[in-house]
Amino acid sequence: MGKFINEHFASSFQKVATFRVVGGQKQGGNVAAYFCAPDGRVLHVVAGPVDSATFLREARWVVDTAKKGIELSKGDGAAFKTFFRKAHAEKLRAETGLVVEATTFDPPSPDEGDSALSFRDPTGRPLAPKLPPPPIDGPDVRLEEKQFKAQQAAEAGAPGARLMVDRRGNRLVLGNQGRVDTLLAGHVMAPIEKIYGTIFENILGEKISKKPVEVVTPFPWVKNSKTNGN
Amino acid sequence: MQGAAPNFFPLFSSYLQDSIVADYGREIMKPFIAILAGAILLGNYQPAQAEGCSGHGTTINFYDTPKEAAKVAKKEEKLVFVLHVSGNFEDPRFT
Repeated sequence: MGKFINEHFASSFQKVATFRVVGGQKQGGNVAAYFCAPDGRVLHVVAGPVDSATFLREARWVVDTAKKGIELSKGDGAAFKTFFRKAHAEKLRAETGLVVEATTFDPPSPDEGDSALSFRDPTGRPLAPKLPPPPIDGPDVRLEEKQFKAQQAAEAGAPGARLMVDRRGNRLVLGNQGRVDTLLAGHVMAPIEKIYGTIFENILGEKISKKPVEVVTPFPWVKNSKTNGN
Repeated sequence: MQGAAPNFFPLFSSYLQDSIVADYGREIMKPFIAILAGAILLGNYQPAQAEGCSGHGTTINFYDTPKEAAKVAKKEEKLVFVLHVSGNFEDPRFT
């Protein structure tokens, strides 16, 4: 896996959130892997910890899809973005049986963080926005009910599986990766600083923080229960 | 098996010298060659550490900042991989 990553990617890491250490034990904390274009625009994300086979599969998917996108778009950035968003929608359909319409046009945003009304952190940076995912249309009509139920049962066992609602109000289950694909069907090629807040807070359920580690000592008056004889 | 015991060293020259010896050598050495190749390709994969990189105990070369990684990616026509983590990545107890 390391060989593939070093061959196709230049890698780096950032600390974006914290975790708690309670009684010497790590609690919480999470990880997100972003595959980006060299200008920092996000092509794909793996949210949460996954095994090496899953990680390698996702990394290969990005490389293959990017190669195909470059070939088909012939230097047209808008065509490349459209292709990649559709690829995420297709990946979601293939893996979960759910249909989402890829957003192929980004309207100009009225608030890009430069407005006097935008919230900023103490260092003056605007807060990471929470991007809305495009709505899920519902199950793929080509699937039989039995097939879709089997896919939903599999999805219920996926990491981070959560209840979602489609356009018609039907309740569905979607794991972390399914929700990432839904989000990216509408926001691929957005800069990493615009996406990471949504990934870490809305998908992984973590709070973004600059604290390195939060050490919690719930009973500070208890030094050592053995020596106290309690 | 007929004849003298095959000389496996050097492996590849004895492999091709005598057909009987070669057959014997090929059969005996097959699993060893497979294990050796596997070890070279997987287990013992040591990435060449580029300047400004650290592996942090992994086989992936991590540049110190995403900016540096982006610069290298642009130069070498690669994509950028950015890992967002909670807490101390440098401390193996907390990753």
